[in-house]
Amino acid sequence: MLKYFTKRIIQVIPVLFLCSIIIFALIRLIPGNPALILAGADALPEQIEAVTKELGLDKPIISQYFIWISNILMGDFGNSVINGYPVFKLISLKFVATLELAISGLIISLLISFPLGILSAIKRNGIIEKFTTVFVALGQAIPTFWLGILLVLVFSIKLRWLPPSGRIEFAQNPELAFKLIILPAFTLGVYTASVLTRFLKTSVLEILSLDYVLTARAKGLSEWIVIIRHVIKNALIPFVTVLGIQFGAFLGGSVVTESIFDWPGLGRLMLQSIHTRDYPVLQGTILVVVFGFVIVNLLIDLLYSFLDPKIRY
Amino acid sequence: MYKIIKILTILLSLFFVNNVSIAQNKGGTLTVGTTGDILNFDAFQLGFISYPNLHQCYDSLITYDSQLRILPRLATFWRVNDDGTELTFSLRRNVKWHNGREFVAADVVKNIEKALSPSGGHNVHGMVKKTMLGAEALDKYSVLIKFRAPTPNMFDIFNAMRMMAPESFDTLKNKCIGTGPFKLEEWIPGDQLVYTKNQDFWQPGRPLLDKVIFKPYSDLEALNSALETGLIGAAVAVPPKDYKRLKNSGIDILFGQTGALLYSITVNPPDPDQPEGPLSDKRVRQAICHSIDRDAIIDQALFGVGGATVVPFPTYSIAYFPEYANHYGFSLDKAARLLDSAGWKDSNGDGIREKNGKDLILNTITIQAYPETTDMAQIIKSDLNKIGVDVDIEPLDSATYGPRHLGTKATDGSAVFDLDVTFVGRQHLDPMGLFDNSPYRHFSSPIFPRDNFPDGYVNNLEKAGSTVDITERKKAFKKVQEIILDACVDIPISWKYTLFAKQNNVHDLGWTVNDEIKIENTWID
Repeated sequence: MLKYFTKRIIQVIPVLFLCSIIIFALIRLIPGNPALILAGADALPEQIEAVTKELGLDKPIISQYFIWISNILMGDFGNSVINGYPVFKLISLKFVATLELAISGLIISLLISFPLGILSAIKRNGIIEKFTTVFVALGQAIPTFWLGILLVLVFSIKLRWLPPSGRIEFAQNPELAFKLIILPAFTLGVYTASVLTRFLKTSVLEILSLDYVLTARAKGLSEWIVIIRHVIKNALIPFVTVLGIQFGAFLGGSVVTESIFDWPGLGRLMLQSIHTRDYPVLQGTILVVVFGFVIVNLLIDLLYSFLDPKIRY
Repeated sequence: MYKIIKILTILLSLFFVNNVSIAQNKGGTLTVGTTGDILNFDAFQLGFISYPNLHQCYDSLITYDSQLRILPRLATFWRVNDDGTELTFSLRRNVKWHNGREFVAADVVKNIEKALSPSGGHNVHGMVKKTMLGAEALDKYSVLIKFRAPTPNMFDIFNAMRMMAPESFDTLKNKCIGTGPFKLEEWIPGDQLVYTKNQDFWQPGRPLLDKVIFKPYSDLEALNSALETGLIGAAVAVPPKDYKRLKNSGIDILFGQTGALLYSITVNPPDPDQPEGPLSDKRVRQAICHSIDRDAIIDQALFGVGGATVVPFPTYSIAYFPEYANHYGFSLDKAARLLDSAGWKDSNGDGIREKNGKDLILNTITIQAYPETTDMAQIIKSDLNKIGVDVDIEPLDSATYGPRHLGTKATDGSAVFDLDVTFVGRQHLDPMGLFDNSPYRHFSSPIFPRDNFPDGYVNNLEKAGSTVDITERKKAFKKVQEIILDACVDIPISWKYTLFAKQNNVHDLGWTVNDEIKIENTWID
């Protein structure tokens, strides 16, 4: 296992290196540059030139890339060209908020998808399955921004039960922090819950039709023991794969949810950096997100061996 | 007895009125929602989001009241020499920077040097480049500023130029040291900007609040919800589309200075090196001028929050001439006739006019961050379609809009669009302020990159900007407007009002003549 883990970690290095080139190149392909933002809306040509030089954007692209990547290798993500903030500090601040939202969204999606996925597969043609079908269809069809706005209108503006937006640290005021995270986590969780429910239901149905389940039943095991011991555990492998992908996506920040609920996470940071062409922040953030995604996938791979003893690394 | 009761009633009411007027609560925190975050703390960057916000940290030498009278701030006295080329400021004594150091004349000199530098001057550089020679400290509290020629708009420059502590010039990206009513406590970009009361503020008893938090909202719906639920106490630059909704929710909406900002369309005549474009013909540009239905734009794109104008100056300006106020009426018939006379006709019956085998299609850029500019372009497109002109609309984000609007080295400084639905500012103070905006500039112009300005434009502007003789200036501005109207390269549409929103318990929220939110007198009950 350790050997496999080390091998996978080593594999991450070329992946990240390749990603760094793609990220750098794609960002530079976007028209516009930060010098125009910094110089101001009515800047004179000589001002734009002076700021471009000050930011080092007059250097050839290749040398700009090597300066950036060599600094990264030395642990220096650089500073924002717009606000001078150290990029790593900025990412760390936003990452905490994103992680908080990602975990909460994931918990909500698990709380919904786990019972719905299993029960709808077991109780075929019942009210639960009908409800699940509608939920899955709606969950995937309803746009996140629409659901978010609707939740704010109902629970914040109409009923005044929950605050509409913002985030504070849990340590500062746990009750308010909890109230603040409910709506964004639910908005983020509903879509994932619908995806996970569909996967879990299909997976459970597939396993229910396998011979070893029939054998287990023939042995006289109660239906719940069959489900818990033999069905759920085996159905979890595809479920966990999708869960990992969704969690990785959450870590990249959900721009829409974060914007609607004024949640200061990575998604909004990236959006802001795109608007201002803040290259160091944008490059650094995407690189961190890619790294997070790769690590989550690695952890999911490792989890397979716990779920299925036949899988050995 | 009746008289005694009457006198008592009057005395009692006077007592209560007086009490009400002085019962301004001290302390408390005001959270102000904004539609975006500041870029940094450089006060010479007059961006539409940074500029109003930074007013809390920095102060200027002078300011204007709403009647455009000059009021003292960091300067208590000023004197202009006889020929209008020198300005001397006497500075307020015992003013402290936020780091505790005294504000002195040498600081003003350093700020002027920064403004004169192309890389450090940002938006202020364009204002001073052509006019200001430099500054010197006469003594600890007096500064002499020299200009190349008589500069009638010299006070506008010092109203816009906020004083930053020279020792903070290297750290302006994320720190501010000013002399303003509030000190920077913390800034987390994209999250919040926290200011605390400056205990050493030069104005006794001010500010009243302990803390002001600016919260940027990237989603306008989130800003509205925060206002409606009372999560924030005030908001700056509420979009016009939300005006009625917020008002109906019991939020107070206040209108900023009329004329401070102007929605306009810049028409880009092609580069003289490639003169075959449709907009090189004045008649085509005049046809566009006749196709602007300002009433429909204000009604549908600005939701009634606007004021139609054909000229770029408000009625209180010395450059306002009523005879031009109705110069271009909305007339699609007239526009169609002008296009016919220019040889643009729909000969193949596809609904689009053409000439020499080329369709009349106008590339129109708009500013994504201000969705109303795209809405305006849609209305213009619909009207132009009726007379056989197609419009291709491109909403651009700020970083993409910049190079198209200003041109780049690759385009030889030439702007890249046919029409640009934009907005400009500073025309409400001295009229020369309008000509600091790139579409109206008479030097380094992105729409006249080879200095191929219409005849008389530059001469008259130079005359208007270098004399203090009001009659001469009026004459020159009149001529410039005649040229602008005839050339049809800048089409004013409507005044852009900055909308300030506040809860009922927030009092004395003010704004400057440049629509900067003013919180030093604000209190909360």
